[in-house]
Amino acid sequence: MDTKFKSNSTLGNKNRFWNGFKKFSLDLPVVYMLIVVCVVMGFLNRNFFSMANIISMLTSYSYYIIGAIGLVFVFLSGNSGIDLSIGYVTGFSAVVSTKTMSLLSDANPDMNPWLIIVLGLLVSCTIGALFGLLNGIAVAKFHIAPFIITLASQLLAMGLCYVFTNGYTVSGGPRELSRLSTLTGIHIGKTIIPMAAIIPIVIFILMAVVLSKTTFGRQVILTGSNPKSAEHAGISVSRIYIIVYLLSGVFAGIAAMFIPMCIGGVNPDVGANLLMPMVAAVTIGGISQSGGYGNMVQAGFGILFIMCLMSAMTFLGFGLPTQQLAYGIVIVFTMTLLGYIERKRFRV
Amino acid sequence: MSTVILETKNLTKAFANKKVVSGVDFVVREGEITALLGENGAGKSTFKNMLVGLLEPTEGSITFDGREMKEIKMGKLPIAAVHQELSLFLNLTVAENICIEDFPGKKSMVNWKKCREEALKYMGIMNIQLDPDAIVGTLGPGEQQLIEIAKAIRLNPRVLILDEPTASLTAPERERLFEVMRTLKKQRIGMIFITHFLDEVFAVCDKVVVLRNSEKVCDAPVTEVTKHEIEEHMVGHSLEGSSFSLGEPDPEVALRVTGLESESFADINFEVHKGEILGVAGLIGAGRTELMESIFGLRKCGGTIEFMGETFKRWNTQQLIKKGMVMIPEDRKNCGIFPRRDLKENITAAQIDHFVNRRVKFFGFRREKENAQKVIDRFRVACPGIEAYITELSGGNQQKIIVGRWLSHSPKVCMFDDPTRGVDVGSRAEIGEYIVELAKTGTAVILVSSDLNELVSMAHRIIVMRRGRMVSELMREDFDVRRILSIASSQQEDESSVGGNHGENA
Repeated sequence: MDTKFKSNSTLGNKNRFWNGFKKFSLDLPVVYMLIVVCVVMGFLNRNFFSMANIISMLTSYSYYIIGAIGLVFVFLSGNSGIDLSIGYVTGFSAVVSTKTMSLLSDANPDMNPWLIIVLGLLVSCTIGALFGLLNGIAVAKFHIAPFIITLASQLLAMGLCYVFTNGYTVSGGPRELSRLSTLTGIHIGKTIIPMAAIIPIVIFILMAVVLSKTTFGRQVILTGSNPKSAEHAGISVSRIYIIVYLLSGVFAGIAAMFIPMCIGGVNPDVGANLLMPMVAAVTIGGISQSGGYGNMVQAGFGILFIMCLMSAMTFLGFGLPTQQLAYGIVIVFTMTLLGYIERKRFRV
Repeated sequence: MSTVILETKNLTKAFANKKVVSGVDFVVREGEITALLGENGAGKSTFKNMLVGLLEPTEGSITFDGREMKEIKMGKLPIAAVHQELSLFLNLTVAENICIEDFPGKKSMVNWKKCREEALKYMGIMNIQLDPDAIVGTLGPGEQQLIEIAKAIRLNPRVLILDEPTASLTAPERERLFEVMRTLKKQRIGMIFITHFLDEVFAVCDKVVVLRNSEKVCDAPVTEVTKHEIEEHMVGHSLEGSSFSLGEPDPEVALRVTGLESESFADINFEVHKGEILGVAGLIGAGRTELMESIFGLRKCGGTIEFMGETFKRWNTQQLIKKGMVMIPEDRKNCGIFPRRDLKENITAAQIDHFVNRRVKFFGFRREKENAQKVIDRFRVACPGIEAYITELSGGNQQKIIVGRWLSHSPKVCMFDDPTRGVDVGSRAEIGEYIVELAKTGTAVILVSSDLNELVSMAHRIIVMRRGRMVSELMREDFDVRRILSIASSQQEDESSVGGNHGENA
């Protein structure tokens, strides 16, 4: 009797473990890929895991993290949601806000630099919000496919960016801004964790709470799951669509502040290379564009993976073209894998 | 007597031990039009789907010209069906639509000229004249129906099934369709005509077959039965009296609807009292669902509603839910459930703001789990746990989840749009019990149902709709399934008949 009971319970445990493992693997296949990258780098170059490199990773990819967070909500809202405009919107916002800040600090040198930075943030968020609103209204009220309208507004942002700068790099502004990515931050012993590395993490946690613990987050997910049921349940689907794109625009605006902060001068075509890593991070995390399924943990691992991949490539001395080829391979591979997983899990 | 083309013997289909069609013997002869009648859920669709090979029978046989159906290749069956939902490509021309199944031409090249000729030829057979180059979307529903038939005829069938082809047609369009049916009859094509309108049966059919509760209850030449007899067969004699004990409605009006109109209905006026169950009867396509969705603010419409002492000229769903109106939709799969989400979220979807912590607004979901568990316990939902995906549940249990979502709301007005459609018998009785209990607590209930017996046993009052209009209102004393059926399916459309029906029931 005793042994029988025991064997039964171990079997139950085994099953529970197996089920948990299955759910984990289906939700987060990206973790395995992350492990592969880490193991490979562990053999090739131990410095990859040094505190200095981790901080520099977080700092130099901070704008990708922030852009990707906004994108998560767009993906989750379903309706094949995607925001292709965020790359160039970030670029354009960065250009305008940098210009504003440099004009302000040139005109009155006695002005509080933090006030100038806040004004710059305000400007770039406003621009992002306007683009987001444009996308959102087009999707919600005129039922234009998100892919098409955001592709179009991307062109708009790109054009504006070149017209505004005439093709020249914009720079200037208070020195305090670029210090945020180097010296200003939390001191632990001799290492400094700069604000540019901390802010994205704080925003990430904040938005994770918004997604999982607030009415709005739940409504976004339910809308993504089935917009018609959502409408029946008294959720204003068009409002959700508008807010989601608005949010994505605002986050592009916030991300824009990190470009003068971390790079310095803002090149007019800085927007060109921003979009793809953001989309890749969210997608590889396992959040599907069909909406209604996904959480911030997945997005977080997706972002982490892309960051490690980019950093690893740079570490190993690959140039930009090779890097892009690598992203291409990785994204195509994961998309196929995820499509297969989704089919298996939901029997669609 | 002409030769038999199609014959079924002891045809039976069961889904999970529930017989949907049981032991039906059925014969179609050359040039004979058979009417296939029955209430919703009697098994007509399943029967039809077996004949065209979409479903495999559980028992029994289907033979065409003496050959077993299994021996014939799928594409070669001498049978074609025009389904209730048209399957035309609205952006293509008439000729393209007619030839769509098998374009004339060599290999992968289409011979458009020949395609046009083909279309003309088959329209000639049916004796209709339509421009083969017209875009189908620009034509009326009647013409589209004819194109659908031409498309079916081109496959050269010996048996043609017409599934409720007249549901959306006007009187002249219907006449034209009957003309075509008579023409085809002369060409020795056997037809099965599924309809709800009994007058049509007498206009074109030769034989009547009635299904009720999956069994064949009548099979007779049209000349030997009366309309009254057919109705009796459809409804059955086994009308159990009310198995529910209804409460007394309150004189206070909970919802008043005045002059509601839209493209699918017109001139709707009614009121529901607190604690009253108002039944809405009507055939599919009578505008019942559209009416409910309009009242609930999901569709645009004109008119006013008066709810909880407030008059609305324009309203939206959020306002009404907040004030205490809820609706359980007809189409559970598309408008009810949230796939890929767990039961907990499905249950609390309509009232998430009730759980958010009051101190910090919109934040945290307190007592959400307990609440969801309560609903599951109360409605005895069979499920592995509240974290299970809703799609893992059976239809009846999914429906209980949706009903639970709304009833845990303590609504003032509750609209049920066919709550027992596609629900097994056990859950059906349970849901009925909840509706009656709900009304006893003072909630005004509007119950739309295709199952007339259900309506008669549960409603205090019944409104009958026909083609977007309210044609009759019956009090509980006057309930009679047969009469409701004949009012709902009667053919007269002119205004005077509407008044006439009212007079008749006064």
